[in-house]
Amino acid sequence: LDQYDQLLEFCGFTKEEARDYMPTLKEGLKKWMIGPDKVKESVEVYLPTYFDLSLPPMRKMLGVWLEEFIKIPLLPKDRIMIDTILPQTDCSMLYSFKAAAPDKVWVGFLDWIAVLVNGGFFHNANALVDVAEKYGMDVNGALCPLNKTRYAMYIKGIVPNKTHTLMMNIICDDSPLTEEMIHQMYPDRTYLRHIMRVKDAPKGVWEDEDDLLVEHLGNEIRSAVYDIAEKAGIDYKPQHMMAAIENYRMYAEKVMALAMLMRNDPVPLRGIDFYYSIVPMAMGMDIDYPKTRGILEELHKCVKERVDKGVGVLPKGAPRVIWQTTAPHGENNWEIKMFEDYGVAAYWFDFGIPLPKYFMPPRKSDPFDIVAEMFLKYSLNVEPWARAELINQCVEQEGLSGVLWHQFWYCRHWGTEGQMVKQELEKKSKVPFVVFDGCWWHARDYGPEKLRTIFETASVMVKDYANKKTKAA
Amino acid sequence: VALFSVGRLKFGASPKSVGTVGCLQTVAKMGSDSFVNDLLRQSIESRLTFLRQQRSKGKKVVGLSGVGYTPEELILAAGAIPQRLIRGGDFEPVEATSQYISRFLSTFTRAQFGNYSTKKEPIYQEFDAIVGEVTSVNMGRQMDLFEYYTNLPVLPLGVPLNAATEGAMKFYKARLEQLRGSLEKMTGTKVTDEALKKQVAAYNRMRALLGEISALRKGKEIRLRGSEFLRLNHLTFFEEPDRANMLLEESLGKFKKREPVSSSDAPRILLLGCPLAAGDYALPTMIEQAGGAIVGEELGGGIRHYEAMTKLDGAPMDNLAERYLRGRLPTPYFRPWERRIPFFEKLATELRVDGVIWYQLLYEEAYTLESYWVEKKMSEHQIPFLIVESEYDIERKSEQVSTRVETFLSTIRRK
Repeated sequence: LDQYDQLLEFCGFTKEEARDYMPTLKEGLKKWMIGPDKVKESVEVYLPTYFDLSLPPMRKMLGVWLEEFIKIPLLPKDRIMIDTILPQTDCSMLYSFKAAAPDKVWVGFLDWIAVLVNGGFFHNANALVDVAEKYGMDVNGALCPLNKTRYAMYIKGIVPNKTHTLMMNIICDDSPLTEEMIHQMYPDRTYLRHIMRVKDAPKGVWEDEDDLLVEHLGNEIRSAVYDIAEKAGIDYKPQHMMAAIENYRMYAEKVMALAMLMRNDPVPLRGIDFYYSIVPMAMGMDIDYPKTRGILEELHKCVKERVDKGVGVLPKGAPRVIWQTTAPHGENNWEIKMFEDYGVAAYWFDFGIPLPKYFMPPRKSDPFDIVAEMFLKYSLNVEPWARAELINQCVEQEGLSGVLWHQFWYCRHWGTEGQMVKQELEKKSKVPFVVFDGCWWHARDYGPEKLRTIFETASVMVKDYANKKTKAA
Repeated sequence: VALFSVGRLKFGASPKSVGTVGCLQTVAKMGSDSFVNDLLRQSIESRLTFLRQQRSKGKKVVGLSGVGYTPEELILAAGAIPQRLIRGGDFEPVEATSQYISRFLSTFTRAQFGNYSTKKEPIYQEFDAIVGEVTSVNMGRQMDLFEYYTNLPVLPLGVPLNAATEGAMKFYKARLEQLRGSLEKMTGTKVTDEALKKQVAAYNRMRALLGEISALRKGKEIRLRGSEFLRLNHLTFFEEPDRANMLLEESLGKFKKREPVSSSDAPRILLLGCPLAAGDYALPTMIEQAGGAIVGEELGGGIRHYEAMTKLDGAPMDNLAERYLRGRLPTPYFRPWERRIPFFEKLATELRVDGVIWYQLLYEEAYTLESYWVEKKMSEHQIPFLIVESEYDIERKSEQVSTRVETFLSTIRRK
């Protein structure tokens, strides 16, 4: 087997499927500027090190990611591209276009797919960041590498067709402003529509319970979706949104079922595998939910078998933590593994921890308002005091022993709220809250050995707390 | 091409050159030969006394955190006193915020909270409440800092950044009405249309005067320095509107009678970029000391915008919403980007500028991104472009910065 065969085998392709797909794979990788050496490094180092390839459905899930990645630069010229930036929660809006015109549109989240595969599989994220910095995303500006990646994808011609972008201005300015950069650079290749949330709720107000905020966002989503549909020539109806909401709900159920299994001791699945399996719930992919739902069902079965046999990926009793790392990207898969190497199970974000608030029936009946409500209740999007409240619920519900917070330098939202969340959480809980300051995206910005020491220290703190908790119990 | 290549040079990016003798002293002087400097100093000094006196009589002082999207007219009509958070220029308060928040937040934003938390700015200690105007994540975090680390009541005023849409106007009006209600509750004074109209007239007069004063730089004979205009503009944040108008009128009279303050061949500079705080005059002073004439500026929320008036006919709250959300030039955080670059081109043409200097505060990301396109546009017009970055540390590295500025102006002169 050469490295390309090996890659497809790791990604769950049968021999026949691999033979048929090989030309597409090679053509796509070339467009992504990923040569044989990078593929070799991927199959020898990154995939076996960071992913649990002993689980066949996990391989299939990696295959989904790879196909999504390869598909982007090779899309047929007549395919309408609808991109959404920073959804964070609910992809119903995006999938409603798929429901309206399944054969005409590509839907997705360009940069996130890019980084989770380009970085996570091939350790190649730096290359695109460097490109963006030459075209106005100045390194001194402390700008988000996720957005630099998207910008560079246009500059390098990886995005082949005109895109219709639904820009969710949910938490940050960098993303929408990057879209403005792209639009300045390629006005004929992009149609940009902003969906504007106004983030001014006073402390103590849950935004999803504030009619003005929900209805404003609902109206923004409604008008943007119809606008994009009109510009893209799609016959769009409200029932498409309702169908997408139902589709999303069914997928979320599978995700939650897997999340429930993660509560078992010993923890049955590694953090990275869990993340790559559930994240399609929060980001757009062109592949629709039914296929990934099927893979999730298979994965659930495998993980359940481990639980029934008492098998885990860490020793029994290993403490669990939330690992808040801003702009999750494949380039930092090593973070979770490093914690696991020190005997600590890390949830990537509070993402994936099912909280009762998420299952409350919507207050609103209009489909666009329902989507708005979902956005505004989800932990990654809320104000610092509310985030602390939701994290505290996670801590109590899952018996967590730490909140480890990567205060990512180049994020004005998640990278700036750490101290406030910490202060608020400490009013409610004695759980250790450790803030890590830095940027670990680009190799120029960090030293792994220095970080190893910091991670080890944090792991010791977490274990101490867990031991004390056990003794007290 | 050679001129344009100067553009992306930033201080620290090339070797030092000669010509910086006396720079520190220059910065320290900061235009002290101008009566405007004294006026601003007196306004800031007397402001504290004024606010204390008014509070002792039961008046409320409302801090305005933001970049000018909160109608001061509304605060005054409610019987309270508006006070913009506009001070800056010192690194120390900026640095002091690191115990509360990541340093990768706008310098201007951090300065405002730092000036409050360190008590470096006594005026800020007189607030009874603060309006949390949210026009960016930076400004949202500024509101958070006051909410999480002080006991000041914070009144939200989110500003939708897609201002041209109907939904944005609807939301902004709703928030203004809520603000009006909160102010009325706090002061016990009902906001009447008459009171609003009176304030609107005063602020329109102020804008007209600022426009007239600024225009004195349009011609070949320049009768006021850019640094003087900036100070006068800032003065209006520290005076009641009627008194500010009186001072502006007096200053206008003096400028008109004055001899030209710049040589007729001085390079005409357009100063663009990030909010320039009251007290942050190191760069304008350097430009002028190096022989440049600042003939115009657009500095986000760091100046009082005077190009758009508020309508007097009709419903005053609607008129205020229209003027504040859509009338003034938006900051680059607003999207889509449509109005600003054409406005800069128009300014550059009308003012016949010889060069553009872009003032970039660290971690004001919208300005960083926009500067790339402004530079490109200026290059189409053969206008040289220089970026100067600052974290309120220009005085610390004044030799480096003044070298860049002097080189830039020399290059223009040789053109």
